[in-house]
Amino acid sequence: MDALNNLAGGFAHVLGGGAVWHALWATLIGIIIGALPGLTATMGVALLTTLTFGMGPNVAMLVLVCVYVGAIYGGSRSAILLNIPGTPASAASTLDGFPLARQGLAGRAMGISTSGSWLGTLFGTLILALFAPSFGEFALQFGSYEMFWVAMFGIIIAGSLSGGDPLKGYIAGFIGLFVATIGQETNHAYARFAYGNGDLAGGLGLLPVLVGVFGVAEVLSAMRGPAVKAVSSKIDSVIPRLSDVTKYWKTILRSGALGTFIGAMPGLGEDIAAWTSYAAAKRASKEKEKFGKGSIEGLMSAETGESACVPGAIIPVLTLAVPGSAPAAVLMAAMMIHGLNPGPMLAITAPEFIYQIVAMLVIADMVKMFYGLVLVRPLLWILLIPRERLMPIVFVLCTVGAFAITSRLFDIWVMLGAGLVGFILRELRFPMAPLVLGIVLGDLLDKNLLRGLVLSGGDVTPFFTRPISMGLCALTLIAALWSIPSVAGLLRRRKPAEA
Amino acid sequence: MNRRSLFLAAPAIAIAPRARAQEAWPTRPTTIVVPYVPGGPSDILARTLAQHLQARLGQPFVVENRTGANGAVAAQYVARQAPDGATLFVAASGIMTINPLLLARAGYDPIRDFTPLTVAISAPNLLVVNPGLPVTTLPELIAWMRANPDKASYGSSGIGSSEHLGMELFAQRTDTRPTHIPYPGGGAAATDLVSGTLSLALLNMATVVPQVQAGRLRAIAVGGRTRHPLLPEVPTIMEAGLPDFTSGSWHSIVAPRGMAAPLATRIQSEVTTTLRLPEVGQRLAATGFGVEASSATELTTTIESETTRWRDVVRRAGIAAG
Repeated sequence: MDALNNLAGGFAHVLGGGAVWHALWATLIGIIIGALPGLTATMGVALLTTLTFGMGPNVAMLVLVCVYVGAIYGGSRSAILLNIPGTPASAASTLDGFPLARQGLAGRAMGISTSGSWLGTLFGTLILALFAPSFGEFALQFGSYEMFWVAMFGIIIAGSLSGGDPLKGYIAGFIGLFVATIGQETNHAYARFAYGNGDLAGGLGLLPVLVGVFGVAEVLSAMRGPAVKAVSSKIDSVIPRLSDVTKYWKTILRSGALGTFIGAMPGLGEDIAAWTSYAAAKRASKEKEKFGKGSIEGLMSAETGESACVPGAIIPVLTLAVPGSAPAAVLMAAMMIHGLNPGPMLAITAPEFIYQIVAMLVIADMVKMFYGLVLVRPLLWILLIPRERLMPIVFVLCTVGAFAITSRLFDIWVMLGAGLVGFILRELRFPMAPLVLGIVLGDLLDKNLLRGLVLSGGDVTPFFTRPISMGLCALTLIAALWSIPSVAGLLRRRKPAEA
Repeated sequence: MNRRSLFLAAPAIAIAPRARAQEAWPTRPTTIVVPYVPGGPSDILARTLAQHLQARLGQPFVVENRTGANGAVAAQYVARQAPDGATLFVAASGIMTINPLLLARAGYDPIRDFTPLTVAISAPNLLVVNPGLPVTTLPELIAWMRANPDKASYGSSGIGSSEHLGMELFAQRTDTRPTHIPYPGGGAAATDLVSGTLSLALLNMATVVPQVQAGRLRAIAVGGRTRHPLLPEVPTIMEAGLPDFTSGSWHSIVAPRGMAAPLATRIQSEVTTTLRLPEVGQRLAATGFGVEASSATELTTTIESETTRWRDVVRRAGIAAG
């Protein structure tokens, strides 16, 4: 009852002085930032942080939470409509979102995305409100050794993401892993594959590569192929369907839990949350063959996962002063600027703040839903623009996005190079998902392996003997065995006998 | 919160000289160049200054974030601008002292390429350990590090950060050999210190104070010249037994080289007066930094003495960052 009173107090506190108006404009800005390829949620929250200086702490936090929630959601607009993830978080949404749009179901896809995302954030917020402290503590148990296994597990799973030829999936994944090793190694800044070039020593940024393999490659594909009329969508139903939610409630719960959990782990962000939820959904699904070809379940899982990650990432900010993702790190800095000291002391100094954040997340989620309903029709017009006119605009946006991160001309070359390679691989029917996942996880794997080895003085035993490490190692082994068809067959055959 | 110098090598003596015949402020809009992304201390410093200077002088002030190459991109850009007051630069301590030592071609010279104006803000680093470590004082920590050379590991916000070089200097002065683990930011290092993956670190005040207050990290000593108002019971490293040892970071304001003395004096005076406003101090204190508002000479002395100190540390430790 106390918690309910606190929550009511939180809403009462937040909902005053034009809060709804602030939530409306801030979420819209977030969605737009998210939808533009190259502009990320991190950048959006950072830019808005400086604009909220003059505002009261309450309004400022509401604005920033809305931008964060909006940007993560907005990224899937471009993923569905153009096959270009607006932020790295939405890369997994292209896999089934774009095929749905090509089948003339763009409106339905955006509806699925809206309901998945809405429920994801709501689920994560609920976890935040109920279990914030214990969740934060558990996440803290994940050190370099555990993170290594998390990445390793992801890489094993990655092979299963490729529809079609698994070999091609693994090849693409290894190309991604290789790309992740370019640049200075983490402990001694030893330059790898840099050939004395200062720019290469800085590594290939995830964003320019992502914008390249999705954006530029898509532009090239569109220009190469004959004018496809398929996307001139018969404006299908744009209202999210209740049946989609009720049919896939297990997927939603699983993705929500995974997304929130990954969000709470420092160092993992929305992109990994989406991929993990997607991979888990595919493994558990009865309609595996639909994944990658326009699966409603697949899109729903990616969207729920990435959106549940947002409140998840805020959990350790509030309980430990440790951000769970990059945008959450900026959000935490903003909290400090506004004199709200997040961290372990918060429960003592300002316990009501946790409930205010819960209220802000719920408000942002509701506003997101509102835009999800009203923005779909205008966005569908994008599909009616002839591709030869749309693609040059997309190309310009990609270039601006790749450049905007660090203002380096080098990033534009990386984007163009990645685009060309991505285009060729795509023509040869190599899947893009393992490639991108290889880059994301390769960085995590590489850094944590090296950091763990330096910490242990070159000893590998902590990777196997620490309790959580041991569990994750076993999980990885099982996943690896499972992907060998004959072993999986054996395991499956035994199951009904036991039951 | 107008805290005086906490760790600067130069004694804090000067109060901004009052410009008698005030040099006219340039009539063009002034751009304050920030070398990092929005949201960090240097960005907040720039935007706070811009907001107040715009109101004081009735001139537009624009903040421009030029990121890349650890600040070298912005430094090179500012070095090429005209010294007419239309361009100011928020130069962090790393850009002015450490980067030129580590980068093969930094592309700028901290002393020759800029007109020094003021050390605007500074923050000490705090020497913290995981509470599981059986030490509470500096001598105990040093003894523990000597007895457990294979367990002593420290985190920093990156290779060549003040936290890294400060700890290297500490190791050289105390004859200890802790293992360095760089992280992509002080927050990540603090996380691994809380969880016990690392044993100690010399980290920026703002990053670790919440953890210290909650008892998740134990503060051993502070790297400033004086104790810090947020943790008055924690001694300075100098008090605790290492004479003349300071560690921290600062942000200065500089202009392109060759600025006429009267104009430089005028800008220095406007900037330092603004920095001393209570509301400005309060806003900046939230980032963990205290106001310095030093003289231009102090800035030059600080750059020179710290460069000398870090050059020696870098050479002896054999650090290189490409």
